[in-house]
Amino acid sequence: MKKNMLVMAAAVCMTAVLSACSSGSTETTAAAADTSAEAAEDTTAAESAKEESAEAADAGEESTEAAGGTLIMVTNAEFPPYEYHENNEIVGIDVDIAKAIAEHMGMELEIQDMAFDSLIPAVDSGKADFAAAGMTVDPDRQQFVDFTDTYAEAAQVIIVKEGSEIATPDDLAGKTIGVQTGTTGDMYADDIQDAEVQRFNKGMDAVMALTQDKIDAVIIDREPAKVFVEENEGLTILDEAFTEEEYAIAVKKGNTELLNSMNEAIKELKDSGELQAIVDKYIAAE
Amino acid sequence: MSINHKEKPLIQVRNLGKKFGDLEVLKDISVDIYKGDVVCVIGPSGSGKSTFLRCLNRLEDPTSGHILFEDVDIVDKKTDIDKHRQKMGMVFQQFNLFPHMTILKNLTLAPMKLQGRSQADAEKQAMELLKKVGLADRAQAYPNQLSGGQKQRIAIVRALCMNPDVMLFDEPTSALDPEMVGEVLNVMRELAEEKMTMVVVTHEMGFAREVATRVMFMDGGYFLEENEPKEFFANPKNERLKSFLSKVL
Amino acid sequence: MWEKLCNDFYINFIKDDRWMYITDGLQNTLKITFFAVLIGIALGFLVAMVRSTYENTGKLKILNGICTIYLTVIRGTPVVVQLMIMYFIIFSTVDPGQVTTAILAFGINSGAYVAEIFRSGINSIERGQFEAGRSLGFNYAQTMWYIIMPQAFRNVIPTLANEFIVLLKETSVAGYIGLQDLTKGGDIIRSRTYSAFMPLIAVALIYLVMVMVFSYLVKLMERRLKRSEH
Repeated sequence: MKKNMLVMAAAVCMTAVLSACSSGSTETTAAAADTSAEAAEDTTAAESAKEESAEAADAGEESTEAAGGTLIMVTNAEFPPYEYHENNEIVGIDVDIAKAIAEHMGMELEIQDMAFDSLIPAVDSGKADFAAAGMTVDPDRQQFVDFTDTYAEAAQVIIVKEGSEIATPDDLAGKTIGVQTGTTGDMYADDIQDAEVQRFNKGMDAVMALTQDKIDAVIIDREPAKVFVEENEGLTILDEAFTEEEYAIAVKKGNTELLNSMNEAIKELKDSGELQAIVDKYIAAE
Repeated sequence: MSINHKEKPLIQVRNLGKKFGDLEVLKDISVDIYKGDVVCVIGPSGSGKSTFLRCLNRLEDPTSGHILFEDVDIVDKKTDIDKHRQKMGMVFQQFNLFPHMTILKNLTLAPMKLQGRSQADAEKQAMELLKKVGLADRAQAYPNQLSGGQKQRIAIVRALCMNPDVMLFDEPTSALDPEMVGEVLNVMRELAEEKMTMVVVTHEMGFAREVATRVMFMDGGYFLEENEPKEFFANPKNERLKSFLSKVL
Repeated sequence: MWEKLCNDFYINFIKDDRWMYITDGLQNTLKITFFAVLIGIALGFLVAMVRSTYENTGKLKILNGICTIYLTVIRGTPVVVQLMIMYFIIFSTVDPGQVTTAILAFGINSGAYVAEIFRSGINSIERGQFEAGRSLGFNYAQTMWYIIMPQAFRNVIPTLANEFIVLLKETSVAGYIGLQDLTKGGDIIRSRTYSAFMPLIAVALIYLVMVMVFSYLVKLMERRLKRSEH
């Protein structure tokens, strides 16, 4: 009796697995049929469809990596205006640039949101193709990833409460400083003399701790800092930046093919003025 | 109906009633219990005899009537029942020894905490009583190491350690293996011989016949008949009692 | 292979004294867990007493209502959200410090679970024990204290130990309020070295060792208590 049950259970399992496999393959073939149907419709379709197919052809030429045709981007969407959530979507300067690059390469873009300090491991382990997250080029990071050409100038700035005794970066010594874990601000804050560094998962949480007087200052990138200061009364950014730096996209170390095509795309976006247009769109929109 | 007494009763039960929801378990019970009485309450199961006993120290709250214990109405909510319970020892069917304490601790806990007696004093009395019931050597044991008969003897001693004025026994031998019934009844018999006032709910007719000063028959929430034991068993008058005795004897 | 491991170890723990992120974090984790356990036991005890007093006697109706709300809210929301509420809302104007905030949040959280554990322990003690206590003349509180609680406590030790193991591991979300606990310590190293393996495994091992040591101590205690009963 028991044996019979086992056999039956095994049979049920097998069937389940088999049907799962077969249903998977049916889906694939169905999808393929859809594509060919679309292609057939193309002759009568609107111009946009033609553009798409043209781009697809481009992609074939430019990148041999186009298998599947999807570029996976990881970011930490808590960093306005570079990346943040709006209307259930991740948007921002980095997102638009990444979209433009993907479009340029003729690939689909898929965005995954994760903790900032997980971005480089995700790229390093091949779980993602690149990380675009307002990431500063920094020698420590370069040990693990390759950076594209820089696409934006940035700075780490200091947010304090209005009327704070902190007036220059030198005044931070001995103070309690909030940062977002793993950001360049976090790394630099470590070197400030006698300062207590509190590391938050989100820049916003650090800023909120500042408004509640739990900490004395926040070190964070300039553009998000502007947004935070605007949204929270009584905060101000010190005129003197903590550091000046540049953002770039991180790709897996040694993937020169992807690096080169991205650099090419970035160059073209820069030359065509599209890059500036994207930045203006967000930063002017403030 | 009852035997003549010159002194005042120790316990006066007046028109006692107890309902559990719609179920009327005790209906208008009145009885006097005098110092030195050994009252055995018998009756079929479900007759209300355990409930009656548990009302005497208010483990069950009566729904009506009064119970005067040493002239104080203990049914009155204002009465400090805890103080009066110290004078009323109770022995349960299931022993209910405290399993997390040694026997000695079981016996001395209440005297020390409630009567403020010194440990030496409480232990001295406990050991004397243990010796009397033949369990002095088990003072440091835990309840789980004892047999049922031993446990019940300890439970009796635990109640006695408070020097109560009356002892209530709720079917003290019903949970015991037959060979252990005797040792418990012997302890109770000695107690009766020492003129301890006792109210015993029991199925042990032999004990009732030999030890009781009064036997009472309860059924359907009433005391139907009461007499001194010889007459009670030899010449039952109530029909229900007759039929009950014919089944159990 | 071996060299790579050594190098990884060097980069993650030795270089720039990075091991201090772990040890500092461990201190905070232990501090938070220890004091949260104390609060949890005290609070859980009180709530359990109120609840079972109400169940047994019908007294303390209002207190019981408050306790029921407390249990429902705490057990119905994630501890990390409670922690954030404690940090950003309850202590928005006064700042008792991150560690204290975390201790309170985790302690209050644990209290709800401990209360239910104690209550089930109390309910597991047969009614006869309670009656035996009362029949000797002990009042309700004395009966609880001398007779019911010691037995209930003994019965719930394994469940209680489990709750504290869960609590220890739950403190790993303390990083949400910018506090550097053991997990956060590992995260900081990861954000510096971009390697996941060493910091994560080290952090996991430390939690594991703590849980194993604690479980062992609980087992010793259980054995001692059992010996006294038989």
